[in-house]
Parts: sequence; structure tokens; C-alpha cells
Amino acid sequence: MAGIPIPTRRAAVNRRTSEFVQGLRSGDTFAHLFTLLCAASILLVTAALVHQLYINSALPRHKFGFHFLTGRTWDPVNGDFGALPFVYGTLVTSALALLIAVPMGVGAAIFLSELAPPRISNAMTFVIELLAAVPSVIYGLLGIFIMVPFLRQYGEPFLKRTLGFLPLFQGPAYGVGMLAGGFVLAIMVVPFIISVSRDVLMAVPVEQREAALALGATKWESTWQVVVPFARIGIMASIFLSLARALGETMAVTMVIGGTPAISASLFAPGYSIAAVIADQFAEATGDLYVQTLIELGLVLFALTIVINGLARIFIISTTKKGSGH
Amino acid sequence: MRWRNIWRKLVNYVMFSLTGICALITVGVLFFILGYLIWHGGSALSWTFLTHLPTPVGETGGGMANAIVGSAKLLLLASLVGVPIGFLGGVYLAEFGGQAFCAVVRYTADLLNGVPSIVMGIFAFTVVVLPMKHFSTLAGSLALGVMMIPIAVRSTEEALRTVPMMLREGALALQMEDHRHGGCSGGA
Repeated sequence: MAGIPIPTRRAAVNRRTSEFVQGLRSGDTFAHLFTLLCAASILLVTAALVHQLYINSALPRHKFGFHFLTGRTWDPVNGDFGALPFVYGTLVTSALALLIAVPMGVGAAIFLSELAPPRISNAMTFVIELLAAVPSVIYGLLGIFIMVPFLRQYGEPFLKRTLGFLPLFQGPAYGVGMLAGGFVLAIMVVPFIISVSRDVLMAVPVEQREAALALGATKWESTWQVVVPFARIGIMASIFLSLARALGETMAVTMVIGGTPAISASLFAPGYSIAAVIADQFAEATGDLYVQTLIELGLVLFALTIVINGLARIFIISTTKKGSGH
Repeated sequence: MRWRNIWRKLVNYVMFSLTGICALITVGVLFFILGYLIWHGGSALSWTFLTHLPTPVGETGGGMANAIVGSAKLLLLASLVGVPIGFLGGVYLAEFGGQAFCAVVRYTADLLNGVPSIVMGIFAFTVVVLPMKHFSTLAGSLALGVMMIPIAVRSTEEALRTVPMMLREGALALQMEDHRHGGCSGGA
């Protein structure tokens, strides 16, 4: 623009201004501004969310400081609160859920995309996607009525007999507890993993498979060493999506986790997760400190999901740069 | 060499059988849940169940009309919050936006999408319930509406991106203004 003489630039500015006025009159600029406002309000809402959580948790933040995150007591009567058992419960149930759901879900997705006849595969995927839309409270009800009695009578005694030498599988079998929470979460996130992973596996170009087979690979070798690495970013994305859902899942976990703010090595022991304690105690919390502590727990959960989300992005970006199908 | 080939074939069969078992277990569990819901829930479903109010604990009969009406009200109010903001925001991202600002909005929408529902509940509690001093459908709708925004934004944007550029150029050639051809692409 440096070479343009001043009068011309001025004319350009004039023309732009008149274009702006004309656009405003015909509705074009109005549409631009209005949609911009809507887009900007997404930022505003998110900022308001963080701000509200922050200012409404001032009391416990000043009283406990960072000890809130390491404290293990939960004593509403004397106003002494620590969040460690809940953070522990959230992380353990989510990890357990992924440990069960990822191999199962990815395995099922490989079967549905590579081996199953298209018609069966499509029908199964339809039902699976239907189940991804079932409200979580229904999974919680089924967990209480079917899974918890089953775990108490057969599942946990069996684990105790076979793997009882590990501290993870010791102690009385209540049925409700971390194990039940992890199982319910696993069942809830499996539909996500299957449907997203199957989609990305199906999207791998058929030439990739043919090239591997032409080089003499067996079908499994072509699948495991060519197709799955090609689709790994999509599979990873589905896993992180599931992790985010597992961390924040409320009703289903609340109903089966047992509701005890304690940390114990055994998976059979009842525990608590952040979302569950908020759902359980928010309505009956008395006093400002109690309510604000629960709001601060919400802030902790929010921070946890942001950290996980950020890590997922960094991970995906770093693996994309190394070169892959996407 | 021969043994190696037999071994590779064996791995092939074993691993694919394992994936088959995975599929059988997961899909079996999911089918069981669906079947259980239809079998046990279906027998309890009747017209009275949908149109009557709940009876006190211990009495037989009654329904859940209040809960159904409540859900409908909640959904309506939530859509009033979530759909316009989400839809128009998505239109902006797909049709008007600049690079950097859009990236920020997109990232924030993804972030908002990952926020657990209980945190949204607390947000609505602090914004509506605390000042008004009582719980309300309004508070519930606000929480639900905010949860709708990111989903509406991203799906609107994705849908508009699949609209071919030719349609836009055609609309412009017919001397439509930008916002009208935005409406055309919205038809997709």
C-alpha cells in the first residue's frame, strides 16, 4: 500500500464507508454483525461460567487454600473439607472405565469395520449409536438393579478367589463401589469408542489394505500394522471424548459408587467422585461454606476437564506432525 | 519359513477371533440393555401413565404427566437460549469469520462441549437461583441451553461447510446479498 498516493487511498476509504452504509441498509452488514455477536457470546458465556464459579467459591478458597486439594477429611458438621477422596474417585473410576472400554471398543470396531458383512455391521452400529443417546440415569438404574447384585454375588467373589493376592481385589464385596462405577462408565463410553473408531477405520482408503496384502501380509498384519496406525488419530480422539465424558458423568456414577468420602486401595470399597458428591449433597447443603465448597469442587472438575482437553490437543497435534493419514 | 507362516496365520485367526469376541460382548451387553428397557418398560407404558399425575407413595396407578410437561417446557426454553446463539454463531464461523477469531471461538466451543453437565448446573444455580432465591424451570433451561450452544455451533458450521462454493457464487451472481445466500446455504 506504500506506493499508493494519498487521494486514491482516501477515495478507497470513502468507497468503503459508502459500501458499509449500503450494506447496513440492505441487511448484509447487519447479518454479519448479528452473527458475530452470537459467536462472541460463546466466549462471553464461557468467561461468565469461570467467573461465576470463581467468585462463588471465595470462602473455602480463603479458608483452605491449596490444602483443599490434599485434604482427606470431609466433615460438613465442623466445616472441614478436603477434596482428595473425590479427585481420587473420579480419576480411578475413569481410568478403570477406559481400561475396560478401550480394548473392548477398539476390538469391536476392528471386527465391525474389517470382518463383519456390511449389512450386519451397519445394523449393529445403528443400535450402538442409539445407545449412545440413552440418558445416563437409565444406565444408573440398570447398574443398581442388575449389575450391583451381580457383582456382589458372583463378580467380586470370583475376582477375590482368582486375583485376591492383589490389594486391588481385597475386602468385603458390597457390590456398590469403585468397581461398579468403573463398569457403568465403561458400558456408557463403549458406544462412543465403537462408533467413532469404526467410522475412521472405514475411512481408511482400500488401497492401503490392498498394498499391504499384495506385499504378502496376512489380513491381521494389514489391519494391525497399516489400517489401525492410519486411523490412530481418530481412535485417539474417540478415547479422549470418552475420557471427558467419564470424568464428568454424574447420575450413573452417583447411583452405584456407594457415596463414601474415603480413599482405599481396594476397588470393592465404596468411594465418591467429584460429580457424584456435588449431585448428592448440593440440594441439602446448609450454610455458605458448605455450598461454596461444593461450588469449588465444580471449579476443580472444570479445571480437570480443561487440562485433559488441552493434553488431548497437544497429543493429537504432536502425533499429526510425525506424519499420518490425516 | 514354513513354521513362521503357520505362526502368522495362527496370529491372524486368534486376533480376529478376539476382536469378534470383543464385538460379541460389547454389542451383547448393549443389546441386553435395550431389550431389558423395552421388555420391562414396555409393559408399564400405557395412556394413563402418560396423562395422569403421580399418586402418593403406596397407592397404585397414577402417571407422570407433570414430568413430561416439565421436560417439554424445559426443552422449549432451553432451545430458545441455545439454538439461536448456536445456529447464528455457526453461520458466522462458516460464512463470515476471520481466521484467528474463529479459531478462538471454535476452541472455546469445544471446551464448553467438554464441561460436565453438573458444572453447568452450578453455573445456572449461581446465576439464576441465588439471585431469585428459589429453584425454577428457568434455571434448568439456562443450564440446558448453554449446553446446547457448542453442539449447535459445531454442527451448523460443519453442515454449512459441505455446501458447495458454486451455490454461493450462483446466489451472488443473482445479486443476492451475503446474508440471503447465507439463507440459501442454510437450506442444505
